[in-house]
Amino acid sequence: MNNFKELQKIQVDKVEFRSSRIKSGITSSMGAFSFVGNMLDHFIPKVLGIFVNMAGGDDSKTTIRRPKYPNTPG
Amino acid sequence: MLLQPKTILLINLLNPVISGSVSSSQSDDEIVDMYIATQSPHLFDILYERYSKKVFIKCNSLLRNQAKAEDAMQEIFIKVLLNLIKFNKKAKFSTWLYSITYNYCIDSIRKDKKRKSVSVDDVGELEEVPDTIDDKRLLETNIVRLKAVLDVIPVEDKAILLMKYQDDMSIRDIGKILSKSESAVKMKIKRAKEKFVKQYSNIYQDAI
Repeated sequence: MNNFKELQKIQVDKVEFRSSRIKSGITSSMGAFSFVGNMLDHFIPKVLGIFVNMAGGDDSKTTIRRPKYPNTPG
Repeated sequence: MLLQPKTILLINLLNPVISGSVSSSQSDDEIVDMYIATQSPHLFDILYERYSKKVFIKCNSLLRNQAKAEDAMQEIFIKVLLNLIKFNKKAKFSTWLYSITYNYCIDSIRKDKKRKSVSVDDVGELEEVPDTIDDKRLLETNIVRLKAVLDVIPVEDKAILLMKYQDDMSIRDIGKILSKSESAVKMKIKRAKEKFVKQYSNIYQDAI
């Protein structure tokens, strides 16, 4: 017998809180983190490329050259 | 076309998600794996439904404020999602989640308090002292009285009793949460039990 666990069961049955508000807060925060992450993924290579160019380097070696149309030589 | 073993493993893992048949019978570890692979909000919903009430009860009982507990809960679940990839399955998912919960609440209480006096926390290594209060007596305390006494003892003592007796955390896990050695944790548990018994007899004029 463990009344600490029994107490928790009783509290779980009775508890009331703004569950949907909290859940939407979590979802929107995660969405914001994901957006910032994507932006960084997208722009950091370009910003680095600018610095490399400014320093007189050539960042074209790191750029993947893609053909204009699929299955055709570039 | 022959599939690589890794691809087959991934397809097997994602099959319930693709077919929409993720059920509540699936283990936490399986759901965590699928969530890491797919980031599906549906899988997060399952974990949230399983644990939100318990996490909220812990936050509310430690922070003693509904609004603060709701904010804490939101922060805790965000922390969990951001660190899910680090969950190494050495412990149960629930233990990991509760340790984040206790950590967050204890930190929050400490920030609020900014205690100046020297407390048990500030004492370094402690000698092991025999624990004279029988666990059985504590576990069999009447539920109404148990709640009443837990509500009046200091929050850190309450947290440590809940970690040990409600969530079955090991001394080592509690030590990690509190950043204490195992002997210091044993001493804190002993003192928390003593405070519980003292408050019990103060309120009810009776021994537990």
